[in-house]
Formats: sequence, structure tokens, C-alpha cells
Amino acid sequence: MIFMYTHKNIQAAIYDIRSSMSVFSGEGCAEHLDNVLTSDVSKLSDTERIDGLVCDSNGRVTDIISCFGIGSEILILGIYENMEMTRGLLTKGIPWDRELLLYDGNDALRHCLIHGEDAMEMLGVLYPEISAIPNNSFVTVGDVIISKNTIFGEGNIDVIHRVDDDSFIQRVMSNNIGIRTSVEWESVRIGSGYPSENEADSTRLPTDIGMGKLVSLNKGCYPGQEIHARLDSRGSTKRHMVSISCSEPIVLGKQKLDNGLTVHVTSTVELGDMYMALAIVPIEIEGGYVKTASGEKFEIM
Amino acid sequence: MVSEVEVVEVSIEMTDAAKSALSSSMAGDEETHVLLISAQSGGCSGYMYDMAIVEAPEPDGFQVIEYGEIRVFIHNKDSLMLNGIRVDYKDSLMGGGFQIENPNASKSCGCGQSFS
Repeated sequence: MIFMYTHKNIQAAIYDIRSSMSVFSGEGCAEHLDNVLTSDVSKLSDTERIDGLVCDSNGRVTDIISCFGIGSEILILGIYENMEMTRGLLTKGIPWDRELLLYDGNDALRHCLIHGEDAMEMLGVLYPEISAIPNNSFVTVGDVIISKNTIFGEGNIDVIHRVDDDSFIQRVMSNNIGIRTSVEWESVRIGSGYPSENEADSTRLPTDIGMGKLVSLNKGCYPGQEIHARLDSRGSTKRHMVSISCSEPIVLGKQKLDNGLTVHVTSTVELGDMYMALAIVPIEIEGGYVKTASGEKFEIM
Repeated sequence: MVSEVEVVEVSIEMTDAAKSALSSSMAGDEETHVLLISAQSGGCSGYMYDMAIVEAPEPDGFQVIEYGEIRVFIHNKDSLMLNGIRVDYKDSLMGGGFQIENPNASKSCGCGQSFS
């Protein structure tokens, strides 16, 4: 653990996450959302959570989203920078005979993430009344939504609360726990190997950025489905995403290695006297050290 | 609400083969029924076409294009995506039927029902 700080020896921290937040409303909104998502949300029920990808017709990822069923509405969390494309896809293609409305929730809601190997313990400090969170679901305390983040996996818990409801902040403050900024989250994200807007940039396949788990190959058509089905039938993943570290600044973009392979650095961050990055690399690069053609030595984490 | 959809005045082209096939499909119901062409999110390329002969809906919100007795309805919501389409009919056992060519589409799916 590189970035953890402790609260009573709890290895976890709370981060402010800059997400796009939209509320989709109207009869049939789940079916409509299902038309554009890589996972099956057609039967999304109340208190259910399903994560998925929005892809373009070439199968490239344009957004990574989480859908929360809240009564007859759906709260959609996505990557903030990719919001316009996703919202455009949803609103432009609403069937003429359906009254579906997409509301902007960015100013009304706030997204925080409890991250770390002891994330559940920290949740227990904040919300002792919560004993467990079922998978693919969420619990609510008042108007606060609490859910395991299945995009990033173990050790990540989403907390979404209304901006005008300070009950979560009160619990954080009364336990002397700070909330780290979205800038600080960027360092943790890169070190942990989690994709965001630089990786879901309309040029990467789901498997390139570790998101193949969010693709359902038996749900039927969605944008990019033909490409994903073809790649699956060929059965070969050519690239994957890794975190790398280096003692020298890491340059964004394509870089040749001395063995002839190419890495594509997508996100970088400076951490004291070292530098970290996320990179899409050929599948044969799994760990250890690689050297660029210009001499920098990258450690694959 | 996030955004309203832009509305444009729709112009479409219907080939003689399509008109003829539509006349036979409507079989004398032209007074009460219309061809409704629409688009919605989905399909392999982002948006999907839909064509159906339906009982004439209330015309509010629709643009109506007439070919003799045949009326084509396109909703204002879909006007931007469907403006300029060419509707054709191919009389073929394999891959035949009504087909839509869309000059605004940057890509179409192999089945011809989806576009982006």
C-alpha cells in the first residue's frame, strides 16, 4: 500500500471522486439504457446495482458507468469528462412514444469512495449500523447510498449523498477522518491500475483496460457488440493495462521498448522522487522491468 | 433536464420499388394507416431504425410526408437522425425487403438496421 493513511490502524481513506451523475426517469428507462450498455440492465430492480460500459460502434470504450435502481428511476454514475457523449447517446435515441427524461445530478449529488484494504472496517466506523453490503446492490442510510464498487473490485466502497445532506460529512468529521481530494485520488487510481477518462478515450477495447468483466456476450445487440463477439471468438487478448513506476518523468503517449515492443502511457503522476503511470502494454509484458529505447527503466507493478 | 433534441425539417427519398411495396403492404388501408419510421438508441452501431405500418397516430409532434395516398410519419425527436434517408425495397430472397440508406450515418451495421 503506497498511499494509505490510517485511522486507528485502518488501512483505508475517503476520496472525493469527480463523477458525472445523471438520473434517468420514465417508464421503460431500463430497457432504453440496456440498448446502449455492454451489460444487461433491462431488468434492473429497486436497490440493484449493475456496472457496464458504453462503447462506440468500433467496440472502443467511451464511458464506464454504474447504474443504481432507485424506485422507478436509475441513478447513472460515469466518468465526468465523458458525460456529454453518454448523455447524448441516451437522449438522442429516445423512442418517440416514450417520455424518458434524463436529469443532470452533478450539482445535487456528491460521489465519494472509501478505498483501501480495510474499506469495510472504515465503513463500520462511519456506519456501525451497516453489517454487510450485498454484492450488486446498495444500502441506504437516510438518503445516502452505500455500495461496493464492482468496477474497481475489492476494497472500494462508493458513497453517494445529496449535497444538501451533510449527514455523511458529519459522521466523517466526528470520527476525525478527512476526505481527500480528487487530485489525490488520481495518484491512487494510477497506482492501483483503475481506468478513467484517459483510458476510456474511445480508442481502447474493454480488455485493453481491464474491463472485459463488464461485457456480456449473450445479452444481444449494443454498440460495439459485433466487435466484442468477434474478439471473443478469436480468443486472443493482445494488450492489457498495467501500472508502471520510474525514477524519471514518464512521457505520455507511445514509447518503443528496447525489445521492439511498444507501450502506450495513458496517465502519469509525480509522487515525491518517483513517477507512476498507467500504460497499455502487450500481454507478454506482465511484471519485472522493461527498458525504453531511449534508456528509461520502467518497473511493471 | 439534460438537453432537448434538435428538430429539423425532414426530407426523405422513397424509391418507386419502395412505394410499390408499401402500396401492396397497406392493401387499401392508406386512409387509416401510415408508415412510421423512427430511430432509437441501440443496435451494433449506436442507433436502430424501425419501420412499421400503424394506425395513424395523432399528428402532433410528427412531420408528415405524402407520396400519393401513402403517408410517412417521422417524429420531430428523430428528425435530425432521419433527415435525408433514402428508403428502398429489394425483392430478393436473401437480404431482401425495405432498406434504408442514411447519408448522415458514419457507419452502418452489417444487418442494415443499425447506424451511427
